[in-house]
Amino acid sequence: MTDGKQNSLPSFLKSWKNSFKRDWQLYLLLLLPVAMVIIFKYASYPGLRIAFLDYKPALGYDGSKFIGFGTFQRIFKDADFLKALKNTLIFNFADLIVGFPMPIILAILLNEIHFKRFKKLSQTILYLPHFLSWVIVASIFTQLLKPETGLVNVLITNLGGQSVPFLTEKYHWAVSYILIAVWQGMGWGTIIYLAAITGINGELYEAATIDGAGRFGKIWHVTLPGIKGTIVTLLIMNLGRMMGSSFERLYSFDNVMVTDFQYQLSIYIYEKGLQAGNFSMATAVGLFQSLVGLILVIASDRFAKLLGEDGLM
Amino acid sequence: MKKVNAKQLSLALAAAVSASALAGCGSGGSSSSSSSSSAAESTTAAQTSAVAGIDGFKAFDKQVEIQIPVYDRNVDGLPPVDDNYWTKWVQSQFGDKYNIKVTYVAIPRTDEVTKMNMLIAAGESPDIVFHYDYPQAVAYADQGALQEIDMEQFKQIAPTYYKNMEDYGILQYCKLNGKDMFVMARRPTAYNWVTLIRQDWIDAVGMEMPKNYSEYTALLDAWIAKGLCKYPLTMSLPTTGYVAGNYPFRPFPPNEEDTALYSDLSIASLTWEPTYKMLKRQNAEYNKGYYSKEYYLDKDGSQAKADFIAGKAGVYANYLTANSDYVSGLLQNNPNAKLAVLSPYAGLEDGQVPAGRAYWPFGMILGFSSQSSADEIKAVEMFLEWMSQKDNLFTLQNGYEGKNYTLDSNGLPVMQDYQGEERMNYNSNKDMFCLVIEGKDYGSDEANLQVQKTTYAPKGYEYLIDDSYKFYKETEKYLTTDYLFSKSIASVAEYKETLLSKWQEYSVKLITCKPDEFDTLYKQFSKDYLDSGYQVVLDERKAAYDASKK
Repeated sequence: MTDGKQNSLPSFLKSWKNSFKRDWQLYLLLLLPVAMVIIFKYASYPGLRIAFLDYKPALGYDGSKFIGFGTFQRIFKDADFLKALKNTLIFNFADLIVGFPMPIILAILLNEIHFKRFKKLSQTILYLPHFLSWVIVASIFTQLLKPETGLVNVLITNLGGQSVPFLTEKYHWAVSYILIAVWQGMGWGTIIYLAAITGINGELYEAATIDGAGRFGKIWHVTLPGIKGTIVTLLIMNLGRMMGSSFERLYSFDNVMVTDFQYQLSIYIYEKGLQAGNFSMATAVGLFQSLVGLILVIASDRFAKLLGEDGLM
Repeated sequence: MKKVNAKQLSLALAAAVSASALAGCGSGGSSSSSSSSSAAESTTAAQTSAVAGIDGFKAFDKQVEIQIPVYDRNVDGLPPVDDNYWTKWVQSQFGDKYNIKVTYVAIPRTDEVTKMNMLIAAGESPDIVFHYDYPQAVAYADQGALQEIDMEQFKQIAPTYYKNMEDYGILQYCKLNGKDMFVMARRPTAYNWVTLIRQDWIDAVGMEMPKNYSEYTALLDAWIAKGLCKYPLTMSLPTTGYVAGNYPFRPFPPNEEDTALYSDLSIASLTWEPTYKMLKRQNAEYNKGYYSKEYYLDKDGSQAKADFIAGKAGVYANYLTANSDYVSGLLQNNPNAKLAVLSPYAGLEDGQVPAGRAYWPFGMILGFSSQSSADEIKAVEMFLEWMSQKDNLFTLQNGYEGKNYTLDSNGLPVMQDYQGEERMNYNSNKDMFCLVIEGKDYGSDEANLQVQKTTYAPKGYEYLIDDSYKFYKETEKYLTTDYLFSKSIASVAEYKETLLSKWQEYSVKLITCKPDEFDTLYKQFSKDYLDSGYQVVLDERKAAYDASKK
């Protein structure tokens, strides 16, 4: 691209300069999000040293004693931590198994609707739950599903059935908890797949029709392969969240009967770290979660590349 | 092309990381230096004069801002706790005079420790860090959130407050590990914690106020049989480790060592024999249908209150105040409802005494924030002294004559239902004056009872306070205080949140399980509870107790 003779600048800087001159407006637009990331993601990095201190807020960073991996050792010996870790992994895995395919299926179904207005209406209704916060979703479902006074159970008992402890018995709770999340997130999740489907070349469908493919044939042989890249990308990103744990969701679906399952890492951090004022512990667990998440993302990215996909990085 | 991009990206990221790291260090350093300098250069203008107390106060040269915490109890229909007529009154009467800006900081009552911890961690701690419970106050001190109090200076600036602590035997509690860490408000006895029972329902089944547990259960069974209630009693999820119900099951007189180990506001004594007996009884009661099957979903007591108001349940305990919504609400739903104070003997089996928890002589426990400068501490001490002055306190507690109160023939204030601009905040501004005194005190039991009747009882219900007073006097001799360690028990702060959530889970599971499963579960939960930190707490308490006896 460049002829190094005339220019003293190294070649990559020169190409940078050129592209910057050409697209400076775009770079200007980029400034704000990059600033956001720097301020909210990287500027907090120095605070991570709390994990290696016996941190007392009143004493500050410098006044607190350095204890190396002491906090980590204590955490890994804590039976509650192991319980929280186990629950987190199990529930995130279940969320992934149940929740991940739903938006894909839904996007394909929506794509097959030919009556435009019905499609738009369904999409809008499906997106709506995404805009409700977990606090609201949980309080509505808690009210509806209460064992004695909840609308659903009143209906069931009046029809002669047995009251179902949807949210007050741990196994029922597990199912309700996962399904409610699927309901809340699946509509929103379709957007990216629908966009990917739009990008599929229409001629492929025509060719498939000529080859005698029916609806399912076209879905199987054209649509799905067409969005495979998107699916893999999203799967990798989701795997990165395997160690994550939504505090808002868990906390708002909390009641003492289901603690056995509901006790996950974010609850652990909240209870032992923030409520008890043990910030070192909270930070250490958070750091551990992020590291495992990072490893999972990198590993799954490598795996995707082994399978011949593009991957993320 | 792709490779180059990745390299450039990582370079940019590395730059960003190091830049932000530098930024972080810079700001940290500068903030700490500025705070230390402000502490050092304390303007000595004000309180160095020899005159003790309020007469020696001089205005600060440069305005000092003090931040005073105030509980937010989320009561409907009242102005915000941090900005209302009375906070402005404090500013105009006290702040403006001495060039002090008094800023109130709202602390949610139900989540106060979390909120306070957040403020402390963010470096925005109010100048006073307070809590009603001694173990939590100690926890704040252990975290390094409090600074040692210079009692000589305190005595100089706030002699009235100091004298109160001296006269009421509070001073001895202010020391922790040999250092003065707290000052404490006085606590005159209040008679407004009442357990109410539906007298009209007692009449409806032709019975009388129960005098022991078997009469009590007979009454409740009769209610159920007659279909008066859905479930007779109210209960909600425990929100503290304070196990009030196990007092009757404790031996009387109490064993001091057991009290030291187990009787506590912050950590529930799951593994203690009296608590076992209490849970066992509650389990039996639950299985007889005395409680709502969903009671554990009620995390803030709102469902219990609603059930009592709606006439679903007939027994309910709470603080009585002049504007208690559960009395007015109940009457709206059931105009014929009649209320009585449940006899303290109703829960007693043969050989049991109406035991209960006695308060210490102190109410609110105040510590001074370690983040406060010397001037801020002085201003806070001036504030406490100013509020301790008789006239100021009287106005803050009662408002204005002819509006908030009228005077009776003995010169005692009779509270009125006044809704104008100068209306009182929740419970006669209690959350503001609690820094100095926990209630109204006019010198004698009789006078206080008289004032409490109009302060705490809704109109027409003064007899409830009378009855409560009568029961209190009868049972006073059975009340015992918790043991108070003069040394901090560090494991309490570390484990109390974990043990509280375990107590919530286990107590509910033990109460709601089938009676024949109770003992197995109790054994299993007790073991887990001990393993989760309770054993550590007990061991530390035992060592401290033994050491204090040597």
